[in-house]
Amino acid sequence: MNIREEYKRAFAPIVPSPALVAETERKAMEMRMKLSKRATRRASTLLIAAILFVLLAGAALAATIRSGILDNLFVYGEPTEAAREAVIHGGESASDQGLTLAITEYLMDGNEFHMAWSVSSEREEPVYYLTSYDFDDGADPALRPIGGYSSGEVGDATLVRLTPERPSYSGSMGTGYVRTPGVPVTATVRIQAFTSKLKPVEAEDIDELRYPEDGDRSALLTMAGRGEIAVDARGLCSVEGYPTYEAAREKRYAEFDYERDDADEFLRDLDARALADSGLMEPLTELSVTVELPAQTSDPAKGVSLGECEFELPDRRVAIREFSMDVASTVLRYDIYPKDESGLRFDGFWSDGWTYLLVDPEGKVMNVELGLGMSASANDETREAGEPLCIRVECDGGPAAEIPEHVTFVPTRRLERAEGESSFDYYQRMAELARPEDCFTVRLGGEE
Amino acid sequence: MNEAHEGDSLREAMARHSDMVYRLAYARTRNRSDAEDIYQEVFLRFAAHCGELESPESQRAWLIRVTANLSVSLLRSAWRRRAVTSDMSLLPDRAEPGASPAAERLADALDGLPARYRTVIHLYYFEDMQAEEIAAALGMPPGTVRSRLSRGRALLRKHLGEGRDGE
Repeated sequence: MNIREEYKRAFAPIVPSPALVAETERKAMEMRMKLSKRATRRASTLLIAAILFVLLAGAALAATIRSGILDNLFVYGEPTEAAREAVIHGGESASDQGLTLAITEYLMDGNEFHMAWSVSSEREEPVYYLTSYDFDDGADPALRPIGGYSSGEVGDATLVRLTPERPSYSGSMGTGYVRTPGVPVTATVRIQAFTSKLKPVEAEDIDELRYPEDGDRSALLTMAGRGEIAVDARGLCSVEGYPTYEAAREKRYAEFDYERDDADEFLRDLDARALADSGLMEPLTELSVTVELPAQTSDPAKGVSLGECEFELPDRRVAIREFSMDVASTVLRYDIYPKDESGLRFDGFWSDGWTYLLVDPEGKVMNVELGLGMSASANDETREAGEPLCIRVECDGGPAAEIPEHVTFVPTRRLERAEGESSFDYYQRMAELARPEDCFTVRLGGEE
Repeated sequence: MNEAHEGDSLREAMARHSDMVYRLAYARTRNRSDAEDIYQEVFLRFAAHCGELESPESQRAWLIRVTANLSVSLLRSAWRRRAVTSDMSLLPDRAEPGASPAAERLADALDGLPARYRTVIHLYYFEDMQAEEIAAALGMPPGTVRSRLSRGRALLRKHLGEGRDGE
């Protein structure tokens, strides 16, 4: 039996008791009744569909390891002037033991928040540090993302190594999950620094050492036995998987008591304490910087937003609900109403052409450049009698290098990807196979 | 959506997702009492939001995220009302007569899995969700989900392998 089967068999009997279900339903209905008396309801802050198509996973990952907000946002081209203007250069910093942590820049365009920082060392011996990060946008804590940010060095016990030859490191993070637009954001960056006698060894990919695809960690264990540490070209490294570190971590974790007053701090410091306990590293210092950021740093006039509009096509009606392109983000939401439901599949929105590629006036597909994540869902099981079938598509991505005057929507389709074919070429080829009568064009700011 | 429809939507969502929410809470906390607390809290919050979540898919994604977040909050809460009880590490069928050796091995393996991996592991193995879907539901970068899945699966394999070696 494989793990999945074992897992399912073990968890299948785990269900809530009928009494718990009944009691919860009673309380929930009571609450529903009270809330239904409110005159207005908050707009949805969280609407996530289950079927997700990530067009640009590779590029998104690449973005996470580049430093600087604009580098992260504009992976394929030069940053726009509007984006440059929206970047606020910080100056908040903290120093100790020859180390300095400084917030260097941040940007908020109303949808997305990005921040960059630098850590520098004036010490003669190598210094290693862990980075942690906290973020508060005023949203209900239960609705905040869990680690909803991208950063190469934050979390997961990843260390940065600074030396006299490479005395500084620029880190950055971004989140597309700001839940309460218009509210100032409080953000904290924190580092815990160490010294170590481990010998550095150059490595191309420290993650492959830590999490090998075949599960074979013998290379890592060999390095641990030799007192070595793999360091990649960016200075990132880790001792995760080293027996002494893992043992120290498990021992610390075993001490964890949910009732302790410092539970939050305990979990936050777990990796640092395990590092010190392991004997692999000696604690040096801790630095943290907290900043309160304005609700929006970009000029709202520099973005464009399309009002609601509809398009009649041979087999469907498409209603654009929201389409905005701002200095750091692209947001697109549309509903599709099929005219013939026969044969419609609900597990093939992408391959069956119920989602769209965006094509600029020069005929170039924009999805890859925008890193446009796409999700789709349908009301097939919840609609009332007489209510039309609706496929709802939601897309979020980064900024365009240049906001086009108009965008053509071209339906997706099932298409075999050629070996070695780039994302750009693949989606471009897909777009060129579309029939003109299945496409429509919108002018940003008006209908065409 | 009118009031009656919202009430129906709430009941339907509970009927449809009740087990999923409870299992996910249990998978993360490994404790029935905590899973019950989280289960109630999730659906009370859902009662306030169900009018905004129309499709079963969006309801499911919302429930997954809030369940995962509340499980983390509970684990991190310093003012929890209840002490951790003795069933902390037991799958419910483990102590029952006839519980399979495989279930017992898995319970041991899950006990050895750090809590931060349990949510993604559960969604992957039990709910059959792919990394991108998990990332979307939890609001995590897909790369983070992949690395946690990779490590979580490796740890599970290791623990299960050790159990088998000992047989």
